[in-house]
Amino acid sequence: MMNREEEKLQQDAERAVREAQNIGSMELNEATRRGIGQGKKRASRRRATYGTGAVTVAAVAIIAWSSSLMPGVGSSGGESAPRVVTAASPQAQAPVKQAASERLSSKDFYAVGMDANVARIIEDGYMSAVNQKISKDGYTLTVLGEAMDNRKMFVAFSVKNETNQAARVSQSEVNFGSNVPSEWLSRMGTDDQLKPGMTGTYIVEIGLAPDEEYPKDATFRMGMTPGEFGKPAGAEVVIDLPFQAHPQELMDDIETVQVNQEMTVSGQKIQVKNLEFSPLGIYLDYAENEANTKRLFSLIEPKLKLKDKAGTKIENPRFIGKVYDQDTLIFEGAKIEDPSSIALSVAGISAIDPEKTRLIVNTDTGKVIQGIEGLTAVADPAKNQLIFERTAGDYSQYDQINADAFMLEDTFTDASGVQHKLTNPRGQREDRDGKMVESATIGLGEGTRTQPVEFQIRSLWNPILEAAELQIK
Amino acid sequence: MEKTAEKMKHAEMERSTDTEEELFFKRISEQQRKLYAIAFSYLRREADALEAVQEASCRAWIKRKKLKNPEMFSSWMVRIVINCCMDELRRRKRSFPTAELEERHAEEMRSNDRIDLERAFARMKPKYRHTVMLKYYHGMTSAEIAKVLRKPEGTIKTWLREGLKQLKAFL
Repeated sequence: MMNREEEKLQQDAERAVREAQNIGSMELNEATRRGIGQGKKRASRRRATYGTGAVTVAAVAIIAWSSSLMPGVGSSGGESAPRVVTAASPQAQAPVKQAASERLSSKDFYAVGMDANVARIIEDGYMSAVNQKISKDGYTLTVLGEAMDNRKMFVAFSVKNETNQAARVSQSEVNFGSNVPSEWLSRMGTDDQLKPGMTGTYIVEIGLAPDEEYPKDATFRMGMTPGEFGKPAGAEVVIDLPFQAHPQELMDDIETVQVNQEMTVSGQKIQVKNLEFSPLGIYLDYAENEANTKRLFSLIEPKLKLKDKAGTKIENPRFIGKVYDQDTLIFEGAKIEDPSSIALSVAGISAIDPEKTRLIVNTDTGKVIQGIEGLTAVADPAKNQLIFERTAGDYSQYDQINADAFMLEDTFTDASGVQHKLTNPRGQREDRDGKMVESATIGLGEGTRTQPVEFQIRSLWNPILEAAELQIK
Repeated sequence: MEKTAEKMKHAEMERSTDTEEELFFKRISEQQRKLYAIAFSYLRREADALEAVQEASCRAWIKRKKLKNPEMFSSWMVRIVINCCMDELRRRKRSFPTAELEERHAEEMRSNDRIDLERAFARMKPKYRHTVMLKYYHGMTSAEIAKVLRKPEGTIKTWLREGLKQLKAFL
């Protein structure tokens, strides 16, 4: 029998667990990323402080040198200093257009943490300088530069917090006008939280539509929210800065290899359509063969092997990831130009019988009528949500790195044929007693639902490890 | 020449760190909801719990090379997050801005049990508190708690018993 204190503990624990579930994955990802970013900075400070005399001097020299080049960090001008648009706070004035196209250098970004591919893009001189500045309500935004191909764009910007309270960068996006698609993908760089007087430098990654003709006229939009993360202390200040992008700048450097060859893994045919070598990365487009008997979720451990003309230099560009909702793989840009040999290999595929992608569930009771093996569901009528859980085999480092997240399509259909939209879907993967347990929590939205309802699996880890290789060239 | 070599070395180091960073992020992100839940059970405020996850990620990155056994990653992260929470609780004890105190007071008016429990936890020895929290709030077994707190299972069972005894006395 439970004691009084145990009962209290139990009740409080249940309440805590319920409340803790309200947090979104984005906030958690953001907190983790920021933590790692801070760790990198603290570690480098430690190295500078505790290293040998020579190292200490070198580190201090690098920091001081880069600080003098960092716009807004005590910079007093110099040739790379951005042009200032005098704007009286609080009303922002129109920015001045850039004078000439030049390239940014990696020395401007020594203190800024970023993805290895982006570091390479800057080091290789593919980022055109923009250097435009605008001030509003105590924040000074500078668009430093940008690099774009027909698939994505990287914009480097900095913001100085000249108000008397801490604020955080709450949005950063690029608009090319109405009906021109552009999608925020990620932001890297300094901590989002800026104390008064601090300047942060960032690089934002924007997804573009390959078939779209992008104009030069673009607007960079940034939001600053006073207060700390999770504790806003005022309304967001939104700053728009029109600038001239360089949509054609890298086009001549892009080389497309038409492939149109098939690779077979476990009887499933994958058509590799083309390979695009861009200064910003290598894009590989593929498609599932319609006659396949399984639904393909991903290619496991895709690798590219490039050889130079002499056949002596071999390069394996790092796999960066898959474009969300598209059958496109992205690899880091290659140093070998015009490779004489290109091979694609995979360690296997994650795929499943199409019929098993259908989940038929009673959302009132949580009863799974049809679904993949080991799937359970718990209904939470009070929150109008459903929690799916499945054990995807033993937990291993390999799976943890390669596994696709368990995700459902955005809509589900009830027994009357009425379509409903999922709200606030979120997922989790954990190591539970040596097993990899995945869960997906979904909001069911408003309105009545005739039971049972049907969900469709969008993504699932069901590895079929069968290595295959395709000689593309 | 030396400068160029130094720059190249620096760039190489940055690149390999970035790849490592992605893997590290992936590993934490799989645990982050659990870590957040643990932080939330200690701190009971979303912003503070997020801060604890952030600080734990930071400390973990700095100390990552000290973790000899990768299989202990999960327990190691839990231990770090608990330490971050305890630091925050100590900080709260030292300086509690009036506004926050008032806000907190208002929040807690909703549940007397919560206040009683929080007071009792604050008076408990940290080792007993951690054991009780990990068992009752996160459903961990004695063996799992033993891994997190790096103590023999028998010790954990004793701490749990003692923890409940203390809780009973303080409630």
